Amino acid sequence: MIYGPMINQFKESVESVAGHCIVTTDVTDTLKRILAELKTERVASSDNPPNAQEIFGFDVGISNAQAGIAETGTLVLDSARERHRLVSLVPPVHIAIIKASAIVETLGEALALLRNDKAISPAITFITGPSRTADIELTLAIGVHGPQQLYVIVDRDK
Amino acid sequence: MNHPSSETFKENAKAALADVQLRGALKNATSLFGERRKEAAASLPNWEELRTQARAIKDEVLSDLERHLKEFVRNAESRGAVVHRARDAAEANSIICGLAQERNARVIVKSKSMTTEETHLNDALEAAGMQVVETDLGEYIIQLAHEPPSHIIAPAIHKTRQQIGELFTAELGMPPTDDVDQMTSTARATLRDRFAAADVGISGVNFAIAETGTIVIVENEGNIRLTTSLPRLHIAMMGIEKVIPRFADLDVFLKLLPRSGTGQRLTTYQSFITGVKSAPDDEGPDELHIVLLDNGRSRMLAHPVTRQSLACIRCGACLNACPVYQQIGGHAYGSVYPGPIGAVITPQLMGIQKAAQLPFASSLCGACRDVCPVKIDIPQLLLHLRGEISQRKGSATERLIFKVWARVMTSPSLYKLSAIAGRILQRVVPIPRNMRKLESKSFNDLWTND
Repeated sequence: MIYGPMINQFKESVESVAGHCIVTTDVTDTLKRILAELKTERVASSDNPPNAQEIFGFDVGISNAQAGIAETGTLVLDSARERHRLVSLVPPVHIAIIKASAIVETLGEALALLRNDKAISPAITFITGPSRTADIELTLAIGVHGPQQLYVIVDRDK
Repeated sequence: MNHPSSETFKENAKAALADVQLRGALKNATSLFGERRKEAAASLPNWEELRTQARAIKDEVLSDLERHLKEFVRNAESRGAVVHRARDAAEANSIICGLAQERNARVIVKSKSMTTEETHLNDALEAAGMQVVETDLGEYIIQLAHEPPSHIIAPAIHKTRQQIGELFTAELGMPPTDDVDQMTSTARATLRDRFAAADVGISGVNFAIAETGTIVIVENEGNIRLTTSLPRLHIAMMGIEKVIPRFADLDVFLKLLPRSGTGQRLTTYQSFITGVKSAPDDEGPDELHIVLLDNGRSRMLAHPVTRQSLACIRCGACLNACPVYQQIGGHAYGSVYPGPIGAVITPQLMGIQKAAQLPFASSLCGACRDVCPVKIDIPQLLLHLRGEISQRKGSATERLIFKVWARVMTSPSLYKLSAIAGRILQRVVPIPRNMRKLESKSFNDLWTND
C-alpha cells in the first residue's frame, strides 16, 4: 500500500471531472468487464491502431498512459511510447491503463519528467476527464468532440 | 449581418443596453465565470506568488523578444516544423492561403484562434475558394449565425440556448429543441464528417516554448486535437508574444490560465506538439507550419508603457470582471478583442483613430487589474492611451478653453479679475439652474476686511 494516498487522490480527481477510475490488481479482468458492459466488439487499441479514416468506425479506444497527475486526475500520453493520438480521441469511449507507480503528485513533477527525456516527443497529450464544453449558456455538456466516456484503470502491483 | 464598428462605440453600447435578452445572457455568464475564477484562485495558497512569477517570465521574454523567438524558430525547425514570419494580417493570410492552395486543399477545419480572427483569415480562405469550418462549438455557432465572437474564451456567450436551438434547426435541420445535450450531439455529428474530409487543420497557440520548439494548445472539447491530428497539414498561427523561455515555465501558466478563464484546475486537454512525427507510420500530420504574426506587436513592444499589453495570455478574466463589459457585452466594442484588454489592444493594433472611444469605455475601477493573472496594469494603459488620444483629438475650442482656464487659474491677478468680471456678468447674463451664484464678497475679501 505504498502508493495508497496518491492513488486515492488520483482516483478522486479523475472522478471529480466525470471520469471513471478503477484501481485493480487484475487489469485483464477489469478490461473484460468494462467491454462486456459496453456491449461492443468494435474496439481499437494503441498496439495496432486504425488509421485516420478507419478510426471513425470504432466504439472504444484502448491506450496506456505513461504518467498520471494525482492533484488533477490527469493522464499523460506520449507519442514516442505508443500511438495514442487517435484511439484516445475519436471513439466515443476511451479506456486508459496506467501503472500505479507512474502516478506523480503535481503538474510540475509531470512536466519535469517530460523535460528530462532526451528529446521531447512529437506529440504529448494531457487528458483530464472526458471531452466537455460549456459554450451554450455555460451549461456543461459532456462528450462534444472527444470521448463521451473515460475509464481509467490503475494497475496496482499485487 | 451588419457588424458594429469601434468607431461607433457609443451607439453600439446604447443599442446593447436596450437588448434585454443580451443583458440576461451576459449577467448569467459573467457572474458565473467570476465566481468560478474566484473559487479556483482561492484553492491555491500561492496564487499571488504565481501571478508575480508569470509576469516576471513574460517581462523576461519581452525584454528580448527577438532572441527568444529565434531560439524557438531554431528548435521548432530542427524538429521539422517550418516557421514563417508575417509582418501584418495580409501577409499572414497570404502565407496560409498559399500553403493550402499549393496542396489543392478544399476543406479546412479550424480550432479557435483569436489571432486568425484578428487577421480575418476565414474571409481570405473563402475568397480563395476553400470551405472553412470552425469546430469549437461556440465558434461554430457564431459562424453559422455569421457573427463575430463576443468573448475571448466563450465566443457565443451572448446567445441564449433558445436562439442557438432555432439556429441549429434552421441551418442543420435539427428537430426543434433547447436541450443543450441534443444541440451538442448535433454539432458533434455534423462536424465529424468535416473532420474526416479535411485536408488542412488550422489552430492557434497558447504557449510556444523557446528551449524545445514546442507549441502548447489548451482546450476542453477535443476539436483542437482532431484539427491537429487528422489532416495531413497542420498550420498554427500565433502572435509573436506567445513565446516563453522554458518548458518548466508551463507549471506557472498551466495553473493560471484555466483557473482564470473557466475556473478549472486544468482544462480537459493540453496538446504539446514538437515538430512533425518522427517516423512515416506514426500518427499525425506530415507537415507542420507555424506562422508568427506581428501585426502591430513590435510597435507595442517598443514603448515602455504599452509593452506590458503583450503579457496577456487571453484568459478573458478581465472581461468578466468589467462593469462595462458586463452591461454591453463584446460586440459593442466593434473589435476582435473586447473588454478591458480589448480597449487596450485594439487601438494599438487597428490604429488609435479607428478605436479612439474604446479607452474611455472604463470607469477605471481596477477590477481588471485585480483579476489579471499576469498583473497587467490595464487602468494605467487606458490612461496612457487616453492621453495620446486627447493630444491628437480634442476640438480647437476645447483646447482654447482649457488654455485660458490654465492661464487664469495660475495667476492671482487674473483670477481676481475674472471673479470681479463674474460678479458683474451674473447680473446681466442668466446662469444655468444647476450652477451656484457667486457670493457678493469673496472669502478673501471677508478675511482681509473683517
